[in-house]
Amino acid sequence: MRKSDSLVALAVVLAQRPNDEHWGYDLSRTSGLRSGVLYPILQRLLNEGWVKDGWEAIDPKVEGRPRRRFYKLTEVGIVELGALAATAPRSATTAPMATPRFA
Amino acid sequence: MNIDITTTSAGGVLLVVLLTAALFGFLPRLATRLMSRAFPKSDPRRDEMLAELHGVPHFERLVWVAEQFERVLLEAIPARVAQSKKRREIWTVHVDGKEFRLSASRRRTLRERFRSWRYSAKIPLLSLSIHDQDDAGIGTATDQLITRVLTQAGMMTTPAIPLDFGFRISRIAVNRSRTRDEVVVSSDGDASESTR
Repeated sequence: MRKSDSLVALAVVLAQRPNDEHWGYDLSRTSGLRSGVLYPILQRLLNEGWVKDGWEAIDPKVEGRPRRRFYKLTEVGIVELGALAATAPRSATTAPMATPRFA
Repeated sequence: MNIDITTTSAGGVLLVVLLTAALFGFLPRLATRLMSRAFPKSDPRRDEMLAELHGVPHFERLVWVAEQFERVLLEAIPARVAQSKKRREIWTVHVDGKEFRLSASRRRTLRERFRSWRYSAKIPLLSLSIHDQDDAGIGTATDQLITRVLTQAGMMTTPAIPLDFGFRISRIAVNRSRTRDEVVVSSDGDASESTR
């Protein structure tokens, strides 16, 4: 897979919590990637088998909102994206963007 | 000249409230719903886009919606183009069997699970139509199709072909090809296929 700055930024965020389920919007916010960049990368990661997806286990009627799609690292993904995150500049690994991009 | 400040400001406030509600509440939802429809019907990104909106704070929604427009241009339209190039298949499955005849009485279930269905008491067959454009490929194997029909109809939970059903399956392929296949599966599971 082609290594781009965006992919590294996403790898850093995913590698920080490798066993968690991640939502698209949260990933966008924490990695600083806009939707038009983030989702195509996630699709590529799905195709590569580095990430698997699923749907939140909630009752939409009870919660009052639809089920969100989550992304979770696979075993291969933990290794591959972990290695990729390790190549990231130190500033990227220690200070992911946590504030809204347009603030 | 006298100006009624009270009335003017009240009207202005009301206008601002309505505009705010429209800009940050109603319009983003409407725009997201419309944009999500650009993705093919079975694409999970369609539901994902709608669900994500609920997690976006109201004051960020306008920017978020604008970003989704970029997704539509970069992802949804190419997906639609790729889909239109695929051959569209319409399968009609005629099923005969005691259990299936009983299930035909559960009309609401069938209506929810199949795009079209028809049951005739005179001809003891149930016709179920499946449009296979969204998940092309499954129709290529007869046993997979039968399994899918029975599973969708609530007649089967394990992937195995039961022996007490009779099937007549028609495949009509449109776009690119005008082939029409007929597959007849007898109750003992043997299949014969012909292409016209």
